[in-house]
Amino acid sequence: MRCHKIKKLLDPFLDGELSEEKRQEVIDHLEGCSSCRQRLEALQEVETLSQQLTQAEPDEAYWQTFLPRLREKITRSEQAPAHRRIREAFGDILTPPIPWVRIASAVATAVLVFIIGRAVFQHEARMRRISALPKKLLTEQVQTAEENRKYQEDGAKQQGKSALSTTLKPREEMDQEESEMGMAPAPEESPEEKRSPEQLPSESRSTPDQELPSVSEAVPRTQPTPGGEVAPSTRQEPTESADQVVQFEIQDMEGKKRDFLFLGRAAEKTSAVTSMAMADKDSHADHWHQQIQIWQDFIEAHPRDEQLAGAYLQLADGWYHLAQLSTLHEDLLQAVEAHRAALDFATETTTRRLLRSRIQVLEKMLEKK
Amino acid sequence: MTTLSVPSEDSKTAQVTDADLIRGVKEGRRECFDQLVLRHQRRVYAITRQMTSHHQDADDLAQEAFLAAYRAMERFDERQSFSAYLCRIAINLSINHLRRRKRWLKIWTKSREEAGDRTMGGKAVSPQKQLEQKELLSRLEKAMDALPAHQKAVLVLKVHQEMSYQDIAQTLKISLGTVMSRLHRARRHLRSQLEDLL
Repeated sequence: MRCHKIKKLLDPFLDGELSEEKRQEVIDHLEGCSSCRQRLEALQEVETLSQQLTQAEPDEAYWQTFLPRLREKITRSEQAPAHRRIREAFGDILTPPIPWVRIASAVATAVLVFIIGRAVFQHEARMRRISALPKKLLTEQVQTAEENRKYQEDGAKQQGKSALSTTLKPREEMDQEESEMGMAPAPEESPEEKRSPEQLPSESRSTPDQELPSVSEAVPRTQPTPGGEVAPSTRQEPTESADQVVQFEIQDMEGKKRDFLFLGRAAEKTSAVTSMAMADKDSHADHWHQQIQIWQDFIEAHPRDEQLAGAYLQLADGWYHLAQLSTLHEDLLQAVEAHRAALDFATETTTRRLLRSRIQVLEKMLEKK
Repeated sequence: MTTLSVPSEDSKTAQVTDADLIRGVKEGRRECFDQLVLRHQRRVYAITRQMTSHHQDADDLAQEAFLAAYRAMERFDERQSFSAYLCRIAINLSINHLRRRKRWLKIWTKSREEAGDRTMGGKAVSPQKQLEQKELLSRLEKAMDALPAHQKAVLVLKVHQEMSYQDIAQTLKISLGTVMSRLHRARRHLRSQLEDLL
């Protein structure tokens, strides 16, 4: 037998665990192999030392107390409450001995509770939103219709003005306006007609009583006549707006549905300003000031670009009409500045063309000054 | 299986086995358990003491081992070896204790201080030889200190309890091969630590 096989048998040989046959093989090998003999001697010495490393035996007094103490523990254990017996029996499992295991367990439990709690909370909130959605939409549609009716009754003497209709201008009117301004009819559709629900900016929610309305990226509701007078735009019927709202509700997502409704209401308010300006020519400059103030406040309050695009358009619109009424150098400069700002945000070709044409008009007025 | 004279009310001279006593415990005779304790207490203590090298810890663990055995007595199959069962409990409790307390170093340091308690085999040796032995034992203690608990358990059962491989395997519920490999690794580690002195 070779040395590497003998090495494996030295421990059982030393412990007397080998069969007689194997034992004889080891003895035969050891007689002719000094290195294996040395290895065995070292093993024996370690074994001897280990045996010497015995612990002191307790005295008899100790053994006389061992059983009584144990009896006492057993009695205490039997009298202990069930939960304590379980803890004593499974103490090591319930409280892991290693500190980092305890810490890791606590952290893992906390994370698990947080994840589950968050998931449950989000799910419930989502379910609440979904269940409440149809009711809200219905309520807002009713509110919009009521406000439309109110504006019609109040002052807007001309055409029954629907809020959304102010942002939806017929193609013929656009062409007519641009030709009046010395421009070729736009080959593209008006931005309002082209706008899809996804392009509509989302807004913060506001109640009808709030002063700060929402914004749409819409062209101004009034256009200047060649004579510099402000004329109201032709508006679609409120029922058409409502139809579109319904259509978008079906197509769009929940948030955008809400945005669209608020967009309608915001435009409605701006429309009211315009209508009142038309009704009272002596004070309409104040109304344009009011519109400018509304959108300036809105720009300061809203950081989202998609909303800012619409807000800058409305602001430019306010300055444009105010500048034309006042013809003051200061107002004209502000109007040009507002139009350039709106141009930075506008993406629709027709809107950009309209803004540029207005800038030309304003700059001509400035030159005359 | 170990037998002894049982102080039974029926026949104090009758030879009863562990299995008989266990049946008595199951029947509600507390004195049978006392007999089992008296019969195995020294061995259980020896194991826990060798494993922990600390008297107080060894005492606590020995008491705990008997308490655990008593609680599990209803479920214990008396055809199995109660001695091996107790050893297993004592070893497992000791291993858990060592892992929990991480006191190996302290224990062995303390045990060196208690060197006076230790028996040296009773042989008459020269002062120089005694010094060498002391150095060897000191190195051995350090080497034992570094042994994994499972290897140390096998070593204790083999060297100090003089159990056979088969009994160790049965006690610790591991295979015979595992016993041999753990024992071999433990001894190899000790030898490597003492190589220059042997």
